[in-house]
Amino acid sequence: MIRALWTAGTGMNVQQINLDIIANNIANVNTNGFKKSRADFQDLMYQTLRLQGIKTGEGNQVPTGIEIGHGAMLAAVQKVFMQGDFQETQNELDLAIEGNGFLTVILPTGEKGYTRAGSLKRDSDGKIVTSDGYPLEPSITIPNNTTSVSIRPNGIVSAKIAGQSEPQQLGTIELTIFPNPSGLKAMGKSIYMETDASGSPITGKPGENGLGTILQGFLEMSNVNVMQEMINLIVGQRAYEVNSKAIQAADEMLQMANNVRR
Amino acid sequence: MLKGIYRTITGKTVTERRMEIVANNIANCLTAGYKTSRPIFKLIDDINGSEADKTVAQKGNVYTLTSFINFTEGVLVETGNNLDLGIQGDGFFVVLVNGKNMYTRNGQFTLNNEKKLVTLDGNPVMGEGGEITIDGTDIKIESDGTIYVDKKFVDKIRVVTFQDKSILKNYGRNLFINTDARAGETIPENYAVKQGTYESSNVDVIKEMVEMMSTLRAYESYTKVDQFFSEMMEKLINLGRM
Repeated sequence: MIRALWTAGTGMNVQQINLDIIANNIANVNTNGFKKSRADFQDLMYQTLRLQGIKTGEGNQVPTGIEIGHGAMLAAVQKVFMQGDFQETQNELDLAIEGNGFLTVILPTGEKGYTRAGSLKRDSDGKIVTSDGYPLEPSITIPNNTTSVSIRPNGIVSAKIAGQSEPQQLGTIELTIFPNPSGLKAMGKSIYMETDASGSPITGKPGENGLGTILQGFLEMSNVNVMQEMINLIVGQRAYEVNSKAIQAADEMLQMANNVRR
Repeated sequence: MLKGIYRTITGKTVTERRMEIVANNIANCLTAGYKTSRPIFKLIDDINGSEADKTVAQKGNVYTLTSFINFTEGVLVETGNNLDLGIQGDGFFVVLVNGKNMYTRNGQFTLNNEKKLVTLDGNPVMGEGGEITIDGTDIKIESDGTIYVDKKFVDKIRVVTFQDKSILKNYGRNLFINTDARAGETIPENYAVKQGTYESSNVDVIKEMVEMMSTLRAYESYTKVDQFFSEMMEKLINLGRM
């Protein structure tokens, strides 16, 4: 009897986490470069009270055994790296990645971070940085008297400098892919970090070896689909509710058992 | 008198098991690839065994219980994720766990750091040629399970079934194991692997709610009978005191 209480409890527990994840997705519906997460569930271990296939006293086989499950658990929270929609901004330092790949940035700790949020800025030295001030790797500096910057799909950044007729090439923005992007660790602030599960980063020029290309003047929007999240929210909430009903039923049974002797 | 009380005890035990199974179904109503378990009730008299093997209590209409797994298909949910696979029709994916083949209907796969196709627990998914390595970005999986990466043939996902599915036992973690070594894997006749979808749980919540209500009421009836017996005995005992 107590088992049913705990079983339904695990069900409520996973649905609560499911709602947490949906809430985070919805909160980031307008976050540029955000990738939605998805909670995946598994059933917990089973207690076998009688094994199927064993022989009975007369030599016949037990066709089906008795196994009692112990509920559900969270298997994984996966980032879904589906392409988000593009939004035109006409800002020359906004860039979207069309296809696979991450921009590499240097975090304040000196470690490398990876992001798809391409709303870049320049800092006081003219260095191209993210909104949080993390510089791009390899570093690109825009000279002071630049009138316009152009970034080509293959990542080459060039600047038109006042008083010069030819545009000056400043450097190349590189992209990085991972064997298993779902294994990356989300650090918040749209930054991901490498883990053992993600595999080693593979860096290259945009457009080569399966890497995406760069689109100047656009931003990649969040890939959260509000309609889908709303449906997930309803389903998750109802699943939570039905689990609470199971707890109530188990509780009532326990109460009846306790009331047999008055 | 006492015999009757034994009957309600076993009846209550069975009802508790039933409730536990229902609670497990409900807890897994959103677990991908989960299959509903169902309890079955039996008369002890139906069970094979010599008359002498049965205890006094068993000779009455005492119920015992077995459970079986309902392998009907769950709904395929569209995700657009190209490593989510659903099987339409009969069949299971083969997963290697500690060197042993296990079977699952949950096709939420991912790649590990060696670019191998694995389950969310990191167990490799088997193809016709063993473990599957996917090295590339353009992944296309045909309905027969053939995998093309960057338009090149890589492998075919193994999908197998069993003549008699009752030999499959729940292992947890969305896996089933084969309990009868003599029953071999067969290739299902009708199946289609759908890329970008996964199979949801086949738990019917309404059915589970009805099951739960009837379980609860059955338990209530047993306790009422117990109270009735208790009152009768009380009266008998008090009779002696007069």
